[in-house]
Order: sequence, then C-alpha cells, then structure tokens
Amino acid sequence: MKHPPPHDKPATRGPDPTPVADDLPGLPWLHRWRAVYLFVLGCFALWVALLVVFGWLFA
Amino acid sequence: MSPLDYLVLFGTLVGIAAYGIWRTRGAHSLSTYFKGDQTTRWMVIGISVMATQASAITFMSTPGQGYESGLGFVQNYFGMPLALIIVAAVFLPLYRRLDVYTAYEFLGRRFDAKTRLLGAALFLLMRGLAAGITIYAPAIVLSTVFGWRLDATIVLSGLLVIVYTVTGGSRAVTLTQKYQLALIFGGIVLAFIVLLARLPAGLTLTDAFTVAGGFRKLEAVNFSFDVHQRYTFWSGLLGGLFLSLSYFGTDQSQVQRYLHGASLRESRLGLMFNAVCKIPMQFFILLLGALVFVFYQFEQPPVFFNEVAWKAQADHAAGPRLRALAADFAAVHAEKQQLIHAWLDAQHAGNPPAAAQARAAAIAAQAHSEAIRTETRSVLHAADPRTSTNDSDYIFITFVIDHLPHGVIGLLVAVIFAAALSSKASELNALGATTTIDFYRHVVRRDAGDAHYVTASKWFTALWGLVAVAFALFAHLVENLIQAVNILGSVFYGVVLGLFLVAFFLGRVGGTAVFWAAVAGQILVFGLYFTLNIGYLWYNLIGCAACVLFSLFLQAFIGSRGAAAPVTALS
Repeated sequence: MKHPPPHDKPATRGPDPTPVADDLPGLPWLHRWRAVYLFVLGCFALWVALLVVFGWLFA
Repeated sequence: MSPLDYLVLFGTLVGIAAYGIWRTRGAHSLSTYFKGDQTTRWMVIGISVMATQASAITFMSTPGQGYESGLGFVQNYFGMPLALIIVAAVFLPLYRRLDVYTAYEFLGRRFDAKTRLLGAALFLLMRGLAAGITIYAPAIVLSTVFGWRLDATIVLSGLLVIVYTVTGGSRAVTLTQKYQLALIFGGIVLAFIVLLARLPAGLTLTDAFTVAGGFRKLEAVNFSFDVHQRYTFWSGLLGGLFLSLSYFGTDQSQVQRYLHGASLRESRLGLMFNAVCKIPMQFFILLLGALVFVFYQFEQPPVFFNEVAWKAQADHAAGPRLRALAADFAAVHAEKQQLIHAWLDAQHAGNPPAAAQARAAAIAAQAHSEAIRTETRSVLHAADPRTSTNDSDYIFITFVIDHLPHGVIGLLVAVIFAAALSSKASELNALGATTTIDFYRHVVRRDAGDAHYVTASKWFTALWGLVAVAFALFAHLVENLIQAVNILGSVFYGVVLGLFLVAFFLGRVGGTAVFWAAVAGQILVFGLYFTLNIGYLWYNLIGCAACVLFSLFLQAFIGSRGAAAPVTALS
C-alpha cells in the first residue's frame, strides 16, 4: 500500500467529542472518568499513609 | 548453577525467542507492525505498560537500593498516579483522534517539521543511551554466574536481544510481555517466600521489620524540603510528576504500548491499572531488598558483592590487604550479630533501655562494617582503576545464587532475562519506529510502500541495538543502574515534556518559538546539571518550566506569525 507524502500541515479541528458508551469506564460504582481519577488519587493517598505508618511503626 | 537451573534458564530464553519469532511470522502492514491490530484489552495494555517500565534493572537494581538505602526510593514514583491521570485525560484522546504512529508526529501536526524532528531526536538520544544501560543489567547476571568477562557478556547478550527484537513487531511485544510479567510477579513472590523461610529460626517477620527499621531501612517517606536530598516526598511528587508525565506521555516506548488499545476506554483503564499498582509493586521489591539486608545480618555477606572482581584482585598484589579487610569485616559482622540478638532479646523481654543500648551498638557496628566496605572499594580501585567499585546491583543476585535452592535459581535468572527481553523489545521497537516514521519516511523517502518501511524499521531497530550495546560497554562507570536511567531521563525529559505541554495548552505559541525555547531549555538543563548539586528529579521540572516560559517569551517577540494551533487539548 502506498502512502501519500506525509506533511506537517496542521490537522483540522475535530468535532467536540461527545460522550459515547465506548468512552465511559463501565466499572461498577465508577460510572464517570472523574470518579475513576478520584479513586486513583484516593489509592495514592492511602499508599502514602500506609508507608508513613509502616515506617513509624518500626522506627 | 545445576543442570536443572541451566535447563530452566535456556528453556525460557529459547522459548521466548521462538514465541516471538512465531508470533511475528508473515507479512505486516505498517499499522500492525507499529500499533498492533488495535484490539488489545485494558488488562493487557496495563501489563504491557508495566512490563516496558519494569525491566531487568527493576528486578536486580531495586532490591540493591532497598538493601543499601531502604525504602526511600519508592518516593520516586509518587508523581506517577497524577501523571497517568493527565496522560489518560489529555494526551491519549488527542493521540487517538489524530491516529498518529509516534508522539512526535503530533508535534509535527501541531507545530512544524523542525519541532517534530527535535522532539524525536531528543527521544532517540535519551532512549538510545538508556537502552544501553538496560542491556548492561542482565549482562551483570551472566558475568557473575558464569565468571565471564563483563564486556564479552554485554556483546553476546546484546546480540541475542537484537535478534529477538528485530523479528518482533509491536503486537508480538505486547503479547509476550503478558507472560513475562507473570513470571516477574511469580519470581518476586517466590523470592519473598524463600527469603522468609531462610531467616533464622525464631526470628518472626515482626523481628525482621524491627531490625530493618532499626537500621533505618523502612523510612519510606521523607517530608524534608531540602533540595539536596535525592529522594523526598516533594521531589518525588513534583519531579516524579514531570518525569512520569514525560515518560508516559511523550516517550514513544510507552506511547506505542497504549496506542494498541481496542478503544480509548481500554487504553485509559490500562494506564489507570498502572497508576494504582505501581507504588505497591515498587514497595514490595524494595522491601525484598530490605529483608535481604536483614538476612545478611544473620548470615555472613561477602565484603564486596561483586565477588568476581574481588577474587580477580585477591590473587594479585592487593590480595593480602583485601583478605585482611575481609577478615576484619567478618569479625565486625560476628560482633554485630551478637548485638542484634541482644537487642531482640531485650525487646522480647520488655526491656526498652537495654534494647536501645544494644541497638545503638549494632548501628555503630554497622557503620564500622560500611567503613570496611568503603576501604575495600578503595583498595580495589587503586589496584585496578577499571574495576567498578559499585556492587549494589550484585546484592540481590548474590543472594539468589548463594542461598536459593536449585531450580529456583534458574527460574529467577530466567525471570531477569524475561524482563530484560520484554523491556528491550519495547525500547528498540520504539526507537526503530521513531527513526522510520519521524526521520526516514518524513525526510528521506516519503512515497514507499508498507513493506519497504517495515523492512527499514527492522534495520533501524538492529542499528539501535548495536548503539545500545556500545553504550552498555561503558555503563559500569555509573553509580547505580536504575538511578542512571532516571538521571538520564530527567536531563532530557523535562524539555520534551515542555514541548508537549505547549502543544496541548498554549495554542498561541508557534513552532519557531517553541523550537528555540526547547533548544535554550536543554542547554540550560545541561549547564545546571554540571554546576548545581540538587536532586536529579528537579531537572524534569526545570527543563519543562524553561521550555514553556521561554516559548511564551519568544512568541511575544515573534508575534502571531506561525502561531496557528488547531489541535490542542483545549480545542
């Protein structure tokens, strides 16, 4: 298959992405991406807290 | 190693190579060669991203970090969850919408050809050198196990990796990584179980943690604002954020992994899998190193963990001095062992003052041990300046070879090679893809067919493999392998990230301004690296900030020429 010569011309502005089923996380209790991101940040906070407690327990 | 170990080791190596060749047989289109068939589910994406980052270095060097410095290195990954959220929310949708092969193709569409080539060149330089370091890691294993020359081992194992990688397309890389990461996790768990079983009778896990904590090996989080300290919460959070944002958002070896996803959802969830799992994974590998430290408080360790290098000098003029230092080291170790037993006995008897006294004496004995180790390094270096005085990367493999049962040794060495092949395949594949798409197809030959570009990519992959081998021959000069990879990344990644952040968020900045801003930013980072003494993670932030601020400044001078920006995260 031949490719057209690639150019670095700016790509055109695409249509605003509308939420479709494929773009949703589809996880139990986490129905929006914002909820998934908050869950990830919550896990991070939990890991840091556990590490601090672990170090403190055996200091 | 016994025949059983060799059988497991070579069976795995040959099996992986055969599997890669078998899965990549037949013709490829350019798209399937570089992006797979884009049907991959989120778990496999997540595993592929994790396996690309977790190379043989992770398995060998990180426990050495845990042994020597404790858990503090885990802070290096504190910026990663937030970085992956930003990549998933901002970078990924644009890459998928524009259907790019490489991240730098996006820079070309957003700015111009020279900015695209600059971003690609910085990636090739940084990743090409880092690839050399990751070839060096498994070579240490071979040279230690077989007593071969390290340089010969680097060349031979590097050639093996090149042959395997050149035959593999991106899809085969992803598929094999699934099994390789399973092996790695299995290896970590097995090493943990065997290590705990080998601790002295009567020593509970709590006792082991008490000893590790007493020697300050379990202090994972340091909230100090001192920028001269290498790992703190703040440098990990801020510097680590920029390092991870660069690595996952702009490094082709990672971008190529998640562009495999069957949909935006699959790619995003694959990244979120890493955002949740990476910190606990690194914690357990570092904890493994800290427990190896505890193990060696009750078992005599070698005075220098690179025993091949030590023995080489012990047979020559420095021999008497080295043997005297080894005898001193053994005597101090025996004394320290008694103090630790007294410390734990006092602890069990509920006598805190006696426990504190014994602990303080044990810490002093440990300092004495470290002083003897330092002097041993000096003697080795004086005897032969070419001898690497860094033995931290030999700690875990020495433990495996000296203290684990046959069969398990072969399995763990095979795991290290599996990890090496896995991450090397991703790196060389990305280097080949970037050279082909961003340079060869863009600059040299624009109108060839798929088969031509796939063939060209294989040649470029082989060439990068040879460059990596050449660089690996000098990797023994660096202090610690995994730190070296991160330092190298930090010096280059900040500016590359700056390019992408300007592309995503500053629509009024054009190609000329951002190009010269990136050049100036990179020169600034080089200058600061050689003159300032600050934690290397900060260079990610400095490089990125310099690129963004310089581009705004330059654009203000240039005016609106060339600033059309149709594709940004905010468009």
